[in-house]
Amino acid sequence: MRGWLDRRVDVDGFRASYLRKIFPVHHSFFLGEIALFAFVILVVTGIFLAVNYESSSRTVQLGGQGVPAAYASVVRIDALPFGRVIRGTHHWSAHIFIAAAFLHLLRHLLTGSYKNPREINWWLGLTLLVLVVVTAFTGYALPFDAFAVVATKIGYGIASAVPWIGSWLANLLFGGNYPTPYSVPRLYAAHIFIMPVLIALVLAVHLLLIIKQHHTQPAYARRVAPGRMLGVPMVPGQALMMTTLLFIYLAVVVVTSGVVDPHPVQAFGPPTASTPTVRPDWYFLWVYGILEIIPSSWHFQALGAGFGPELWGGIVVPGLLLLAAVLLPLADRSTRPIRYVELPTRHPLRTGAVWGLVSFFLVASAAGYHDTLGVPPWVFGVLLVGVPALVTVGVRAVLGRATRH
Amino acid sequence: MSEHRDDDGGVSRRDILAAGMGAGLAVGGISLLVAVGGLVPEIVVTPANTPPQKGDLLVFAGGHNQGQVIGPDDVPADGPQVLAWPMDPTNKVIRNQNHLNIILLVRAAAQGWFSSAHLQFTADRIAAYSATCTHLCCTVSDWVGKPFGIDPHGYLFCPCHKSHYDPWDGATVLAGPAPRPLPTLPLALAGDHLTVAGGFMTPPGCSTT
Repeated sequence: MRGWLDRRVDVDGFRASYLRKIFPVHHSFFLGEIALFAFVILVVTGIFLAVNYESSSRTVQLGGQGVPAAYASVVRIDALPFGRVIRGTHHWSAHIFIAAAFLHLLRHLLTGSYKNPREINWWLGLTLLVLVVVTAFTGYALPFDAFAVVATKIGYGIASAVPWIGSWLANLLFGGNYPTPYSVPRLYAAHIFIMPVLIALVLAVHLLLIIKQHHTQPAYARRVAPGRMLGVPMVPGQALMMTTLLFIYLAVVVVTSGVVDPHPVQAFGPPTASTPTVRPDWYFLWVYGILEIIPSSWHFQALGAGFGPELWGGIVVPGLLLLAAVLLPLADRSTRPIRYVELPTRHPLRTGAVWGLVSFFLVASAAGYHDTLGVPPWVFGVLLVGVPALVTVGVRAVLGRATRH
Repeated sequence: MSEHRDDDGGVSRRDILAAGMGAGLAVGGISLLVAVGGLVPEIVVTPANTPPQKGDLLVFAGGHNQGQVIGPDDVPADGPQVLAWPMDPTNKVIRNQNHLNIILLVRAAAQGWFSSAHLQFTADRIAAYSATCTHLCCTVSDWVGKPFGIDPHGYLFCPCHKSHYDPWDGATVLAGPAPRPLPTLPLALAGDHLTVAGGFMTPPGCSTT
């Protein structure tokens, strides 16, 4: 059997090129794999949800009440055998996907592995993060409950804040002035087809490049076996660890889904004329906070287009952060390819800036609670600039002193 | 074995192929743009998505009396606001198939609460505005009574990003990120019903373009 297959498709060649790929062993190297598991689980559970979901906002009867068909179908999914748990696994896997992808990004940022020769994979990773967040957003709309409609409407508003082409763009993406009968089918097509296919394609190149370029080696590899690749082969060593991790992942997510309700559609109820008090999921909270503290006066007209607070908070700030991330590898002029991870403690400024970035996200998220905290919005505006600057300078100073000793 | 070359300065086979492929790509690209542009749905105007017209009645957009015609006494003095849809008075079509048609009604306890510039658009101490927040299009459905305990009158409040509007002065923005006031809808009284006296005075919605 083995020989039969090998004569036809050269199994040994495949084995040598891919299955013997060396994986360095370090706990921080598993974050990307967790994101990968989340993607696989999202696709599998997503297929179950897709075949039971009705992508329409037409009115149907549910318990004597006229509700959107999409809403009714999610209520029906919850009542299917294992329906709620499968929807929960999908929901929480989306959260884990974004969290793992972001931590994966921070790990590469902190250890300098975005540098030569791995710039392309850094850019592909950034692309994946954007694609994943957009996919999560398109998923928001699908249950079409009161929360989903408002959350999606905010996305529509942000898209239409793009100067000049905003209205056209928003109507293109959301199927007219959201919500319209075109909106749910369009967001559904994006969520289950366009975006996952794009993610799968970029992910495939991301993984192939890692096999081609190899991981950066952990710092201990330099001490243990300088100049040599240290790690375990894809098969069997890494595969065994990955399988173990996958089962741990599944156990955690399935138990969580059984215990914590995933987006309780019936608690939010079908859409009404009034706006429920909504706060976005944690990964959008920083954008939400920035949107809240930008005052109405930051608004002007120029060249026939309006530039308003929703543009700054919803597009310009996230766009600038993304642009900075894209340009980051180009700031490194070193022509020597990176082979070992750079220890964060040895790079005080970069490490300081990463923690500054993290503190920026935390302060911006807290700004969304400025009224609950009884703090005027402008105070958060000051904190949003001051805290990241202080954290950057502080961490740099502490690490710099430690390194000199 | 040698590559064919036309040394007479003529056009090579490769040039013609490249030009053909370029033309094909250009036509394909333009076609793609047209196809993508076609994804913006064409809005077919129906009575149910027409903006509020002069003479329209107003009906409750939610609550236990949803769909019933609103009279002045259905709007509580000093808030909270009542959310309403316009309704064609002749064929009784409720214009709720266009979310920009959502309207809010507020009633003052005394005529003097309104600014003099805005008084002319009110009817029986009631003012009407587009209920679509000019920030990001949420419905301005919350009410803050006696904010900070200083001012006796309440304010309109959007729960999405906490924009405050002053209903007694043309829904100007008091606080929060909203870039523009809520568009005014002139009101009139016809018998014991409120009617629309004219369309929104500025375009409703959150688009800044």
